[in-house]
Amino acid sequence: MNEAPLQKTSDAINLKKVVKQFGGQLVLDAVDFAIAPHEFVSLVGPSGCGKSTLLRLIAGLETIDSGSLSLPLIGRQKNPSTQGNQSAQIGETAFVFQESNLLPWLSAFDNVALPFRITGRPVDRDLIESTLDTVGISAAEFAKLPKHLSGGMKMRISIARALVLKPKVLLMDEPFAALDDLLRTQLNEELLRIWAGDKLTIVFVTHNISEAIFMSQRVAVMGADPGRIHDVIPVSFDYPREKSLKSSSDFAKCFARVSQLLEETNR
Amino acid sequence: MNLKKNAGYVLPALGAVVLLLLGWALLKSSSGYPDYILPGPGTVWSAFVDHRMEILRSTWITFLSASGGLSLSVLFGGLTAIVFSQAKWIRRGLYPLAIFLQTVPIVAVAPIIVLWLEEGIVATMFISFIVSLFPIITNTTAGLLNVDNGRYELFRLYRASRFQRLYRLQIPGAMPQFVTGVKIASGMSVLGAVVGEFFCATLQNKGLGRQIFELKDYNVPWMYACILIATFLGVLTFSIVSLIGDRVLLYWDEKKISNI
Repeated sequence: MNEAPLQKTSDAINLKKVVKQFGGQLVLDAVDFAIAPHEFVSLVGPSGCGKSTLLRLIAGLETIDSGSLSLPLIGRQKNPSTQGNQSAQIGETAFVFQESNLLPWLSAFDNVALPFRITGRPVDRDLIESTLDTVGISAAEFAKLPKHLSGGMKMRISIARALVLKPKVLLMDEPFAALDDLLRTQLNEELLRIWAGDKLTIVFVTHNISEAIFMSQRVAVMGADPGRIHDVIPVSFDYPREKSLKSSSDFAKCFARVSQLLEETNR
Repeated sequence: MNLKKNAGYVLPALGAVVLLLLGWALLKSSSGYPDYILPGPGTVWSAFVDHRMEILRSTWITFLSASGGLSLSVLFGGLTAIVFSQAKWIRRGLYPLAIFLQTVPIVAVAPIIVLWLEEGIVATMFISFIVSLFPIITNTTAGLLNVDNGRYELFRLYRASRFQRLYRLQIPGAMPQFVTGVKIASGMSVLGAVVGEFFCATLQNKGLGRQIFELKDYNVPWMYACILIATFLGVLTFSIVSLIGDRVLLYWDEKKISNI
């Protein structure tokens, strides 16, 4: 398994029998999962099912213990013997945390410029400004410090920072969990718009079933002890999706199905 | 609004000073101690007025020693903290030495330093430096090591080098604690300068410490005036540092501005 050649598949992300342990405790047990390019997939599951860990493994923030994990879309192959990735791929995957994680001493603009500065690339001012504009931050806000911005604005800037290096894969770990429902719905719609426009592949971790169904093409329901993918539900509603979708009976059926699967995993 | 806010700061302090002066005057009149043990506030005030030029000159000398010592501490303490933040084994190896600086009885060591560096402002600055160094090292090191986990991971995600992490994340992140360290050190730098001056006998320009040392035998009210001015100098240095520090920290989280 360790010498597996680069996957010759059309997947964006491919996981085979991925195992992850923390201090002898099995967190992910033989996870098989493939995500297609430009797919929007959500991971839902109870606390401790390893959904965040799965996301962090894909991001390269954690290393797998056995199995293989590859991102053929960006030419990255990972198994326990080839941990870490090449510098050319920096910025090909981006991560949005639950906290905005902005640097409090930098303006909105400079926070979005940070990925350029860390990776030593020339700062593309036009791109930063257009990215900020895409996430709904107006020019009047560019020079403001995070402490003068609302929680929703900070999260928008955090998303702009993730998008600014034009990643192919966007990994999001409960990014809207701290926001109120109204703002969450608004940002869900805006994220879908960005996803459709930028040909992104998005893996979205959330506790919120409605949010997962509304945005995703597939919802992976995970179970705990040990963490595993219990089932994957396709969501076939057409895009662009409107808010009214959530009050349709098909949406309710899908919601009930995912809820039921979540119940099963808890048993 | 601003006036009201300022009054809110100043009035309690002013009230405390007035109470203290009243208590002092009361103690003087009720105890009957002679002036060479406890002069009254009025006597001290007139000693200050009589010798104001000498006192001001001494204050300036002490201020130079203290601010020189503090500047050295800020520079050397900041750099030391950066070195300390780099590895656990460095901290384990050198931290005891830093603690040694804190615990060494400065009054005992000061004469040796004066002997080595010769009597003068260099020696008093050096003593002030030694006394004020420790809080800057400890606070800044703690600040450099106390990095928000999410921000740390953000830097890992973009494969930031150690150096980038240091100057883009750790150093700016440590600013609030660095400022706290300098605030504490500012008061101590005056203390160090005064102690150092005790042992500089042949100076033409006498600092407050030397004046206090010499005056105790023949002009106690004047000595009290010097002690009060030395205290005031400590408060002044602290205030200047706080003013600059808080201005710098305006760029940081509001909640992180210390409310000392």
